[in-house]
Amino acid sequence: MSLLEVIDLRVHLFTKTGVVRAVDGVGFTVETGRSLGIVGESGCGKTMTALALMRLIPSPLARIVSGTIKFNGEDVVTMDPARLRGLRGGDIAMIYQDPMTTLNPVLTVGEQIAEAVRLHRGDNRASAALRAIEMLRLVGIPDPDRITSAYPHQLSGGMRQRVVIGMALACDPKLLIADEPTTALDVTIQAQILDLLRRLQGEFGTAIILITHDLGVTADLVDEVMVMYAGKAVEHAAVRWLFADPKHPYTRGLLRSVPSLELREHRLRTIEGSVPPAHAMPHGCRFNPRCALVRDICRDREPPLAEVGHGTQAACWALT
Amino acid sequence: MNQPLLSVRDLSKRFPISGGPLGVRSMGSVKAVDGISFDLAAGETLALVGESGCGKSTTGRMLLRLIEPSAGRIDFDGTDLLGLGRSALRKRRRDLQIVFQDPYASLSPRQVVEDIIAEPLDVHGLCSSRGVRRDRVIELLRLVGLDAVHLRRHPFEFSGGQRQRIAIARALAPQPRLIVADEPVSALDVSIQSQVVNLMQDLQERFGIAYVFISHDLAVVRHIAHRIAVMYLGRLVEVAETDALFSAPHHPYTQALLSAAPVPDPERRRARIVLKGDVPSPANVPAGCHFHPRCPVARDVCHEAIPALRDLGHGHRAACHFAKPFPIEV
Repeated sequence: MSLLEVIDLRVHLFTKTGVVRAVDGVGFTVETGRSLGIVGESGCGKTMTALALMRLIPSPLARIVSGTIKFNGEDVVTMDPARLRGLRGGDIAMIYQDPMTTLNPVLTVGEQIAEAVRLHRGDNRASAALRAIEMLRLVGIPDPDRITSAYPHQLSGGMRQRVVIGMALACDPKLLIADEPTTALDVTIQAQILDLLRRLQGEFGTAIILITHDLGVTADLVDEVMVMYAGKAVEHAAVRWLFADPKHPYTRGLLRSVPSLELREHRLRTIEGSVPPAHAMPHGCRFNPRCALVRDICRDREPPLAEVGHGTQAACWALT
Repeated sequence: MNQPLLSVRDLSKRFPISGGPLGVRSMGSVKAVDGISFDLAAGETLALVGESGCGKSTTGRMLLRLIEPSAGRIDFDGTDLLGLGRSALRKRRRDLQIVFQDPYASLSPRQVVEDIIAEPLDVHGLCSSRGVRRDRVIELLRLVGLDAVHLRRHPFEFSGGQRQRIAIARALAPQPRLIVADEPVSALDVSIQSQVVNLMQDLQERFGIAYVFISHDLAVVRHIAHRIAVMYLGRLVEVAETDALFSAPHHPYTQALLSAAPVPDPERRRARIVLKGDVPSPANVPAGCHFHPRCPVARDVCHEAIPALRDLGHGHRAACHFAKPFPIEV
């Protein structure tokens, strides 16, 4: 049994201008101790997918309209509120882009970690406080005995993100969902946090779902990648093959448009046009207006995800 | 370099820190920019690169005197910018424009695109009639890849990439000789980012505009800049031609910065120099070389003596007592 199994997940947003299919039939599995990157540009549905896994989507604006989310065999979509509270922050932990939105500004960082530990592991005050210091040490915070009584504003951005990671891992989650965990950080600090996440994954065996727009960060951290475009998974591959041999025209365009550190090209490559607005999705394949390989069938029917070589799946009529 | 378009000497900015019960007592100052010097030729792109708080944006704003420098000198095309009075400065700003990072904040939500782009034309009295003004705005829209149909629309009707094109059209309107671009593509998705970078390069080739391109993204900078100046805690630590900086960075900070940038290639994981610790607060900078507490090669002298920005040949300058080429594998 997989740790997490998502089948045909659909999340719709009910807006004034109509229904937006924000996540439209996405499926994937994550095994214990493995990591999956969900990659795509603004509005592709990657964050909405992550939120749906813990049923954190903003209701009533958005709703899971169909699909199955099985975590350790339990169905999250139909889970009762009490069990859901145990799941969130207990079995599944989440870290976000901006640590200041996660941390409570009026509690010390030690109190915040201890609170989660008492709630989810049933520790008493004293043992929870010790656990907080232990976690701070584990995430590489210097002088954790002192920092445990610091308030978030007294710490730098990189230190705050370490605290958030320590808090997320304090209750031994089986799955960590990291939504753009290093996007707000400077590049030398980002390198520290990526190293930390990789080390902790090795030590704890936590599975990771990394949500990001940054292909460099993805290549750095995960085993498998799912590329999303306009609410759909367009490609799913082992990280090695995604970068060595991308298949879907969108993935190829995205990789080509990342400026290279090694080669100076006269012009950067681009993907022509832009993502269609959510309420005016094109018929057939959603990428067809920007695609160089477009054919008649692409404007007519949505391509299914299909095996296209070395375990890679892609949703493209030109590849089948 | 013959007569540079822009020449900056010992430019500094101190921001006072106030405190006390009424917030009026002076508690010292932050040296946001600490004596930096550089030249820029007409039609050239100089990138200012560094992490949050290194003073790159403050420097960009001082070039237009949007922030008044505390000390130093800025010569632009033979004029001493800091010696200009209010109205003379305003006239001179026709040649100096700026594009900001966030196109959601830099365009007035109440104005239509035509008025946004025409604002510099109105300020400088460059249009004799409404017809001339409209024709010029349409021409500018086409230059940045938009169209006359967009004239009467409001900013909210555009995507982030389109808004940044509008901001660029506005900067182009008075035919400036220098544009300061402060993280102009950082808020954009990668496929849109490259469209805007290409646009800026096309405009430079066509009109010979010089850019001061402020960015934290080394890969973008590699494509657009002729020269790169790396800043750390208010000081320049390395200045070099782009290819020279990437092939042989001489300062340990530049080396770490280059190696820390994640590359989209899973085979290259872990081959990084990971710096310890955080960037110190600019209010409380280390003595000697600002970088020494994080520097992997620091020795005793670095704790005391400020390293000068030395010329190492071919205009490659680095501020390190032990500067040496260290071609790292990125």
